[in-house]
Amino acid sequence: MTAQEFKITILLKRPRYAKSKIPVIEAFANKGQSKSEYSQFGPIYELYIYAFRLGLKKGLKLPLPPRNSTQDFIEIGKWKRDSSLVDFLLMIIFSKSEEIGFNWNDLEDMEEKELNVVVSNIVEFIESYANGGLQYLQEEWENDNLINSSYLFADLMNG
Amino acid sequence: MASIINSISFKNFFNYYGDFEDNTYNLEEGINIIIADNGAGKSKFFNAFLWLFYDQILDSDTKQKINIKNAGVKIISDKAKNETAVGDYITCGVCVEYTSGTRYKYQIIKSFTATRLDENITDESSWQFVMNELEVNRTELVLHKYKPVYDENEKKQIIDKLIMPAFRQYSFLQGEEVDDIIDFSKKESIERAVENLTDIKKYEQVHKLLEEFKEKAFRDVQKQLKTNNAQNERFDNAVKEKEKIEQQLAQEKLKLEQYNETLVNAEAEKNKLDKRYANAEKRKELDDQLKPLRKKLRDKKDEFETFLDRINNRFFDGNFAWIALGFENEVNKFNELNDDFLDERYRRKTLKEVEKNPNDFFTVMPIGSPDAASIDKMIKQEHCYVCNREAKRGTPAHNYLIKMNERQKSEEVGEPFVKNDLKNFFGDLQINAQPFYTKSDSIKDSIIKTKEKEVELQDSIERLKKRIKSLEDDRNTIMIAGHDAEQSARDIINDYNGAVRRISDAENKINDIIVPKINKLKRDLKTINEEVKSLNKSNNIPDGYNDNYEVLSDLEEAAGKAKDKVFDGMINLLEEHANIHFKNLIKNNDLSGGILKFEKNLNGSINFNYLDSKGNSVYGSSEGFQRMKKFSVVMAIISANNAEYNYPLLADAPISAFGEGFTEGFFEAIGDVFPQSIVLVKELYKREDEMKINELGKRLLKDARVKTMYVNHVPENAEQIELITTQTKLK
Amino acid sequence: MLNKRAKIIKDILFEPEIQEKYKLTEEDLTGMYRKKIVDVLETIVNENDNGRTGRQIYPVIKNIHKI
Repeated sequence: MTAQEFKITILLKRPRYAKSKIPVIEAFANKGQSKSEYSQFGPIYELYIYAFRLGLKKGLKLPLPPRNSTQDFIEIGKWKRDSSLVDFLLMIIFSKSEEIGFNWNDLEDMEEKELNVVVSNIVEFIESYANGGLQYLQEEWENDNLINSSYLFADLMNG
Repeated sequence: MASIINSISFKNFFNYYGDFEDNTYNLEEGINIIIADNGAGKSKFFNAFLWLFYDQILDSDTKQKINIKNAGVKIISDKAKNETAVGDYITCGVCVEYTSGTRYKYQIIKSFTATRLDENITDESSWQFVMNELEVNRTELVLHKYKPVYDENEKKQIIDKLIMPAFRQYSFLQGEEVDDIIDFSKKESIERAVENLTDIKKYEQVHKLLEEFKEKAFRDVQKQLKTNNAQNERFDNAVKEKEKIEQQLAQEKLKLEQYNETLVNAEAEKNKLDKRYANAEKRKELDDQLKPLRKKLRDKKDEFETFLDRINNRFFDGNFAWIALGFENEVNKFNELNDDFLDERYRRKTLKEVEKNPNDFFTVMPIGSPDAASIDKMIKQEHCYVCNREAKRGTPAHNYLIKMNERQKSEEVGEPFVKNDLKNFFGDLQINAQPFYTKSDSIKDSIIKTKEKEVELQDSIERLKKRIKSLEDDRNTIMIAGHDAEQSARDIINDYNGAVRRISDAENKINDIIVPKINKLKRDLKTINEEVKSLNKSNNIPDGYNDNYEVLSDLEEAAGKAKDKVFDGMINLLEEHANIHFKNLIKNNDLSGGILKFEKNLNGSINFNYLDSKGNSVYGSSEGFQRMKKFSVVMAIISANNAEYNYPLLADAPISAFGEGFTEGFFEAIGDVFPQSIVLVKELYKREDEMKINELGKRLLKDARVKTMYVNHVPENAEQIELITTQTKLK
Repeated sequence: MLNKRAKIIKDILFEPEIQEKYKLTEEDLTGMYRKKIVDVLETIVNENDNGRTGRQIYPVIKNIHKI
């Protein structure tokens, strides 16, 4: 597999989220349409990345429930297409290679099947932290701890 | 014996929510100032007195006075209405306490009760109204205990005594109404003022009687002549001639009256249009200012909305990269791992090389090995710059160089030595992600800057809103004042010019034709009367009749002159007083140096013109200027009264129309004339100040003549049903 | 009250033209003997003050001239 192919393998993945998180996703991501009283992101992936960051920074890793209770959304490669956002994201993820459970150099010697497993683990890594972040956000939202302002998300980042 | 208002209280009256005790203004002799911004209770004061004296209020929508019975639901405090349950009732009323002389104090309460019938608050039919009985109480000042007054006539007298009806028009000076009240362009207006100040009525009565008697005396003479059978043809002819002239004179006088009426109407219309024209101009000026401001506000609001919407974009926008906040460690770790990866990669690669070519004793390229270009150079020049010795072709050194070259190249050309060459994968990530991780340090600042920008936008929106509101308030006062319809400026100008034309026509007719004719007829009448008299002398009738006629005739003429003298004398006195007040009023303005001159018009009305120090008439349509002139005359009417003026003044003082210089003079002047003044101003209000008053307000607060000062507040941004007026007593 | 009446009478009688023609002085207003013109005017002013109409007053005036 070439570097390009490897990247594409990752970019084709469609991460999943738990269905129980749908309310919080609808509240905080407007997908360009609905408005809620709270500050919002636009597309789901924006909220997802943010939740991932939140989970990562707070150490909230929460594996997804069984597949039936989850739902996927747009593939990683389409997340803010013309920007290097995803590249940055991958940088962060690959910096956690130890936690995810692989070694960079070993990757170069793996068979395709093994590489796919690594990619799956990477996706699962993203999903778990995002799930943890979404859970945190949901709890704060339900307990009315959120101070709603245009800087809601910026403030949460500091906390 | 002056009337002094001790207090004015309101109960659920417009924005005055609550009981009388909650909305009381305690006032004293001297100057009392009430500071109220627009909508904070200024006109309510006047409405209270309109109710008190006339059972009326001024409807703010139609600008007409309406009977209190029909005012209905509008005048009740919205908050109070909202708090009244269906089936319950509220009371709305006004209460005035005043002291007359040294013995008695009176309390007058007018109110009505409204019962709520259904859910709707604003609908007239949702309330049932019952006017309450007029309550008048009296107490001795010594023993303060109110006792009710029962007699209806006495109640009415007590109300009248507060301010005598004839003088009310001079005691209530509500804004632009000053102009209407003292309209000396109407003959009746000046006549009424003079009547109030003199006994001219008596003179008129005597004069009228004498006219009547003169006629009678003449007819008596005629009768005598007839009975004497005096065949004096010349006498008869003379009498006939006299009668003819008298008839013509009467006709011409009628014409004069008609033209005068036309003139008066045209002048009234012109005056009305003057105001409207000035108003239209002012309104247009304000509209011109408002239009671009409103657009600017819309644009700014749009900008703000967009700005807010886009804040969250800053997380993922490469220009701001807020999402990258706090990932410094991860980025460093990545770079670290990448370096390790490259090193390890190299190590593995060379290991493989050794496995493949065990004979080749070139292992790892030493650190600092020259690159391909340098090696090429060394090969060509047959010299090794590393060891600094010759490497001629064919020597081992030269072969060594060649092998190194091939290795270098094969290295770069990349014979694959791994299954998956991921070097570029990581390298590209590192390069591509730069926009994000290079910003880490500046993200906190970026957030702060964003917040600052937001505040900045909000501030500019608030400033624009304030400015717009201020202009709109001004515009609204103009509408109220000018009874303005949506007449275009052009219509106003046309009507105005029409009126001017008619004035000119009427004046010409009167001056050039009718008045000369009347004068001629008068002269003819005089001569014919002389003729009749002299013809009479030679008649044979008893002297008594002739004497009678002569005496009455002379008295009639003298009485007419005496009457005119009284009138003119009063006008002069008014002029004198008006000038004293005028000087006071304009003391601190740039206009000092001129005088007011009262000029009698053909139709008996009076113009007061301002002549500058050179004696030239100054016509200024500036509202403030007109107001000053009229104030002077109002005060002259009062001060020219021989007795002291014993009633309070309630005035809406438009300080802004004049500027600060006027204000000092104004308070000094009214202090001299009125024993008590209650002055409502808005221009002293300043929201940002702790006491809510501006510099001028603070100066007045210190003035010894100012006895009380109140500031009215209306809560900012309150909902209609929450609107209440609270008052703070500063002095 | 009386002052006002006296003032009106004086104002009218002391009109220059009349005053000169009838040679009127202060005495004429107060003295025992009143000139006819003074009498007439006083009558009118006083009776008017008392509320009498012209119709009621005129005969009194005629009386002064004995007609």
